[in-house]
Amino acid sequence: MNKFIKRLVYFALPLVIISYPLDLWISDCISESSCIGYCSDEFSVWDDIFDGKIDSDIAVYGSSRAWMHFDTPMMTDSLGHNSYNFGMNGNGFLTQYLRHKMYLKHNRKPKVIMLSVDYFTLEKRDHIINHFQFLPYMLWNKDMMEETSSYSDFEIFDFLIPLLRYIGDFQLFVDTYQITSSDLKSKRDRGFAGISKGWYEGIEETKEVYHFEIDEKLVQLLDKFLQECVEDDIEVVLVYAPIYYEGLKRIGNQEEIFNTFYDFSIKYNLEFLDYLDYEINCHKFLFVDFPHLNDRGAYFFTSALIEDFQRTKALKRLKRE
Amino acid sequence: MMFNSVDFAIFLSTFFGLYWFVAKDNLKIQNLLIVIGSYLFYGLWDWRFLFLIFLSSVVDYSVGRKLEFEANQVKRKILLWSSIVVNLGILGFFKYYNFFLENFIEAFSFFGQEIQGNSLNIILPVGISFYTFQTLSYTIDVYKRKLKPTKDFIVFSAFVSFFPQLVAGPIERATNLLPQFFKKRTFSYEKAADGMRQILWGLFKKIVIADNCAEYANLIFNHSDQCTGSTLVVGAVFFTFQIYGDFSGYSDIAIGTARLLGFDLKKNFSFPFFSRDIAEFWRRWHISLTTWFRDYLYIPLGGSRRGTFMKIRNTFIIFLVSGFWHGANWTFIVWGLLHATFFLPLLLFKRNRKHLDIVAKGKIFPSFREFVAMLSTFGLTVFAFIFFRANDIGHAISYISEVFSPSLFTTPDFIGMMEAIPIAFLVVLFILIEWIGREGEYAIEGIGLRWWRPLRYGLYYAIIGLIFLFGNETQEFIYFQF
Repeated sequence: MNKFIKRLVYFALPLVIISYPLDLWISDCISESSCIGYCSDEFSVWDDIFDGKIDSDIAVYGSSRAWMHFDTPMMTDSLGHNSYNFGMNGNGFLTQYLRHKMYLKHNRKPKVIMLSVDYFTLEKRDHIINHFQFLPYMLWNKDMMEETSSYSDFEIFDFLIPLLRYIGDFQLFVDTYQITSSDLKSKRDRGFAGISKGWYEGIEETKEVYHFEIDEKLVQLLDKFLQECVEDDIEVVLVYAPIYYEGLKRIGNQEEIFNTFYDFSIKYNLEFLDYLDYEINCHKFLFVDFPHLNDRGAYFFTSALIEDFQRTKALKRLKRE
Repeated sequence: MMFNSVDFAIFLSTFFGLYWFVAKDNLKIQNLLIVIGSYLFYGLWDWRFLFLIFLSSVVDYSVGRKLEFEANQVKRKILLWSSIVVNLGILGFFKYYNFFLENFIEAFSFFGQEIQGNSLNIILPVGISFYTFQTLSYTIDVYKRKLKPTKDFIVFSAFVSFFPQLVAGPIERATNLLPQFFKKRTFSYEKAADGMRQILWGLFKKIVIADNCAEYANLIFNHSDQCTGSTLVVGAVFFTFQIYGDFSGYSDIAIGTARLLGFDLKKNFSFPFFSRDIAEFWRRWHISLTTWFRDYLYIPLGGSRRGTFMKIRNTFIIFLVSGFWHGANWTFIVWGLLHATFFLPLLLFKRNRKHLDIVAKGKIFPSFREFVAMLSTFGLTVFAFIFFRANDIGHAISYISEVFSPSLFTTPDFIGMMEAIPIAFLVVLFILIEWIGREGEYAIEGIGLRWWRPLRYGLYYAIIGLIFLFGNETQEFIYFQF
């Protein structure tokens, strides 16, 4: 038995010793690669968060409708306050909240949070979209473990054992190497990345109306988040960004969704900037598809947002401080 | 918990520690620990079905005890049949109730009679096809006086529920496994090291070969109506390696785990893809099941000894039942009957026991004839596996029709084909390693044993490296559904 245990230890020891540094190195390579294809350029934002590089007064949260719409370099120039866009492609409030927690943990807190809300924000989901984006940051990250525990994408051991979460990701390593060897860089500037595309014609064929089920747990989480912001003295501004007018007809429970956010704005006395009736919403050439503006549309929207934001108490408070 | 999971690694490590360090030299405590550990292992799958294993154990233990002292032949038969009825009754209900009901209704409607029937939402208990056959082998052997029944209920429970082979075999014979629970088990370094090697190889087969092949097999089978004949051939080949890697990988892990605990389980796969004919294939594929059917069904039916007609009849019965054992679907029955059709000419021309030794024993390469024979046999098994994998007979027929169409001579084309190329290379590497190690119990058993230790460790690290790089998203073991 002693011989067996000894041999087992001799065999396993090199693997154990090398696992942690190898995990660190792989995670570093992946996060620096931008790995655009896998996770829509989220690594650059996560890197900025974990490196403590974000020194912003205004933080923008949301889904792809945040990072594609809110031109934070433009906002920084116009408002005279650093702005950063934390929008997460395809992700609802649960993972937005996780990002918020990590942001506050490693950076100074913002003075204003613009929360881009829509039918995506509180939608019930089983999986995390772009779960690859968490891989480099997961090891021994208790917050990430807790916040993603309700999804089936990860197991507890993925957060505890080095390299376990990378098993089978050969293609990811190949892509990382290829991207790192190329000139490909992150397109996100202060977290914002406009899309230079026109309208996608295939969309119009679908006439289906969708019902986006609201997850009660996410409603409670949003409530908790807003309460925390009150305690942390962070102003929150809810923003319902433009949707192409035909798209609104495809959301079966649009009123229910809107009213959920409206009720929160009343409860916490929040500014609620609603762009559902905005004039650009019927101009297809400013959209990529129903929910997403292209870069020109983002310019118009951000201009309007800056103008409206100047009338809010949030900016008045920023100017005072 | 799956064998290829961190949960199982923790479970096994803890169990190993308790078994060899706490229970140590005490056989009774080791056996009790096996029962507790096995029930815990099974309970983590689905605690609701622990009662079934317990019931099966109680019934067959009691029948065994009664058979020991019962001299009256009629009463002995009644006892035997009560065990058979209970075990097959449970199996039949959970596995085949809906199948028979649906076919019954369809048969009546074929004759213009509509009848109502309520199919039940029945969950198939994991491992039921395996442990019921295992306990049946006990009562049958006791009945035939091949085995003395055990008085020790703990030992019997341990035999029935032994966790390494509980959920997907090998189906152990009481004559082989039961006596091992009565013998003092001392730790053997060689056995344990060999067990670890076999576990490693099993994990490679499952995680790298089976789970990767599954991805493409599923893709092609699920979209078979959009694929060319050549692509469908690729899909069938992927499925063949999926099922082999999956099932034999599981068996390797089961056997390796048992060896860690001082037990010897029977080999379940013996390099079946190197078979030169279908008869040899069935001597090398799922050996524990085929020998079970041979000993407990084929031979009692008369085997090959009562004339040609009986020989043919018994052969078809065996393959039909074997197919049906796999699941409640006509596709499995057709799969079994296909193999019967392939097998029968060999049996009738007395060529079914031509190849008893491994191909090209002691040689590096097979002869051209052997190579062609292996390829042909492989082709037949791939063909039959189309039925095994298809959703229904219609699906299988349309699949095969497209295979044997002009599109067979086009280049395969499916989504993710470029990513499948490394997997194809891995399959080739796998076949190569299996070929090199074909004279052992499992492929890497003897490879590197005489090498300088760091070099041997390098081989194992390379296998672990391949698992790390190419391990695919975990798919459930295929045979869990049986």
